[in-house]
Amino acid sequence: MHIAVLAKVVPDYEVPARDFELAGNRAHSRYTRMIGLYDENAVETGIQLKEKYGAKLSIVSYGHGDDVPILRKAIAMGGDTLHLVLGDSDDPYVIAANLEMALEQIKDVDLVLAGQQSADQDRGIVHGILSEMLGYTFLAQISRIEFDQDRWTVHQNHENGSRVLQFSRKAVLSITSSHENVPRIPVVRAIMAAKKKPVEKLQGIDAAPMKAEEIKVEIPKLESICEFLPLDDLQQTAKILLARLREERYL
Amino acid sequence: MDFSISEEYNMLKDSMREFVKREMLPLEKAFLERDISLWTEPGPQLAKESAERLLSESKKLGFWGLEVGEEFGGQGLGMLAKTIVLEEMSKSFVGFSPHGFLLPPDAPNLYYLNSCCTGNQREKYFKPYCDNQLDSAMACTEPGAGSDVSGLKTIAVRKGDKWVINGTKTFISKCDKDNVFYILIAVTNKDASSKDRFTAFLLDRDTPGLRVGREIPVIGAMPTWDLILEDVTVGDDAILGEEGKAFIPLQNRFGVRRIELACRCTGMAERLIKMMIDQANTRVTFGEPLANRQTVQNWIADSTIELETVRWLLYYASWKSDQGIEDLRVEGAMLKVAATEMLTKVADRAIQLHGGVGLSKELGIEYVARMVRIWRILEGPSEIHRWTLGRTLLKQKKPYNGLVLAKDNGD
Repeated sequence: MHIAVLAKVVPDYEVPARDFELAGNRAHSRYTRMIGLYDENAVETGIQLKEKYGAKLSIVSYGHGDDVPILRKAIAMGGDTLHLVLGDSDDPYVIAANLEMALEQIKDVDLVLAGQQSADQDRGIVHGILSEMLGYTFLAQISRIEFDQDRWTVHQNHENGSRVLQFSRKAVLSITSSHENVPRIPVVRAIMAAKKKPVEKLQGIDAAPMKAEEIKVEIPKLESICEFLPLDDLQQTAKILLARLREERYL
Repeated sequence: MDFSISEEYNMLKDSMREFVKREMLPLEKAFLERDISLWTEPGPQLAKESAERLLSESKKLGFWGLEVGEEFGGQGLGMLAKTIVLEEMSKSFVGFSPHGFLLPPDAPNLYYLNSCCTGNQREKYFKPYCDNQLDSAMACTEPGAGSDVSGLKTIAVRKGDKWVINGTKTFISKCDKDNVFYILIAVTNKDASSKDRFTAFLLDRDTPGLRVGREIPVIGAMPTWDLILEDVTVGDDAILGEEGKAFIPLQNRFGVRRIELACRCTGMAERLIKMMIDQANTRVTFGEPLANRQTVQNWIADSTIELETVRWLLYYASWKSDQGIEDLRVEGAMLKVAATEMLTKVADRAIQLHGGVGLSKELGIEYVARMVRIWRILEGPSEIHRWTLGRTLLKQKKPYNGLVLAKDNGD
């Protein structure tokens, strides 16, 4: 079994949107860079499959050469090899074409996992395009994966429920976060050994971009804090609301 | 000169940051609340189940014994790795306070034991200590001798092939622990100079004649006790290191503790500066955020200047330790003064910037202010460190030179 996990390096997603500064329509270079939030869930899912079924785990990314030290976290978490396609396009078709090229070169990949959306652009479309290019099944928002007698069983999570699906072909799965795939913290010994694992840098390829032009990028300066209060008893809810407002010193 | 951090050390720092976020920050509220009730309800400040969970999770991640040699089950990474990790851990109140959580084994005695254990001491004490099965307490201070060890009166007298030890120690920590052993400093040659006067003995908790005396309440949750020795009889195998030669390793041990203490100060100072920045940006007075007031800007700027000055001295001292340089007395003295006085000032500014809420128990800044007040006395008061540093430089008749010549790689 060979699992590939797609991981994208993004600017610090813990910076509140209202504080985010753009330079040339993209995040200012001063932000710390890290592996995307859902991509880490995908890496964790991949490691669990590796541990359970003895799979080989390849980490695949598209980006800059200096992303390697950041991506190495996925290796320290449990990945076996790292493959980075060098390129700087933001276009989902170009990225998907480059990832397809990498996956073809790596060969014999049974399952491709990717975070359900990137932590910077939140588009969630590259894996769908990639699956079309590869001719693989695509299933979105998967939280659990099992394998038995050549069949995959996956749990797809929706906002209001879940469903279980089965398939036997190769597939691209977008991974959502769940309590079962909280990314592990790399252990000290794995951190110190991470540099010994192979890293392959592949030259990016040209590909036809999406037929659309980016005109403007804006991040609205909004601040909202939302807390749901129980609504079983209106009087009680009003009391809780008053207490919360006092606790937070609004009253 | 290379000031860059290795990829691995950066990842270690990130791992500890995540550990702090997941495991330690959620404990802060209960930890600070427990501080309030300590006087009326004695006991540990961190709940037992929380302490056990932190121990078990940090062990799984390999954070124990970062500086312990791999042959003893540690990671063999050295002092700089430990410094970076401990600094990150100290950004939580639980990791900052020695009454919260410590990564085993406690470093200063580890270095002392590693450099001086002989024969079966390594099996009996050092290895179980590295694995947190045993804990250790330094028993040096006496009612009449603290910073000035020349006043020590506890005496070990040779009788045949045994040593008979009598005396009273005070401010000794960890006496309530079931698995503690003591590193006891006693006079074995009262006429000799400091360098040849004292011997260190390893004493088990249940050694006949060894008795824990009264508990000494001090600021904060820092329980210490008197330790009374009445005709404690041990053989030569209890001597740690060489007879009469405890002074130098003891001083080196203090150097390690001072580096560790500085990590706590720099880590917490960074947290407090972050709190100051957040408060300044959100708190509006007289129609303007505090961030627009120059006094507030100066507080944040001065705190950062002072923090970074200490931080680079800290990294330098840790790096120097990793070069195999054991005598860090000068660096330890400078760090101890600079780090504790820096955090004193930063905590005070943070309280001032937060106003009334800065004094509240829930925010934790006042806890830091109290704790660092202890640290300006503990492990040698600032005045002693200034004195020893000044005296050393005057004796050497030249200013301090921190440069270490790069090692010749044979090229």
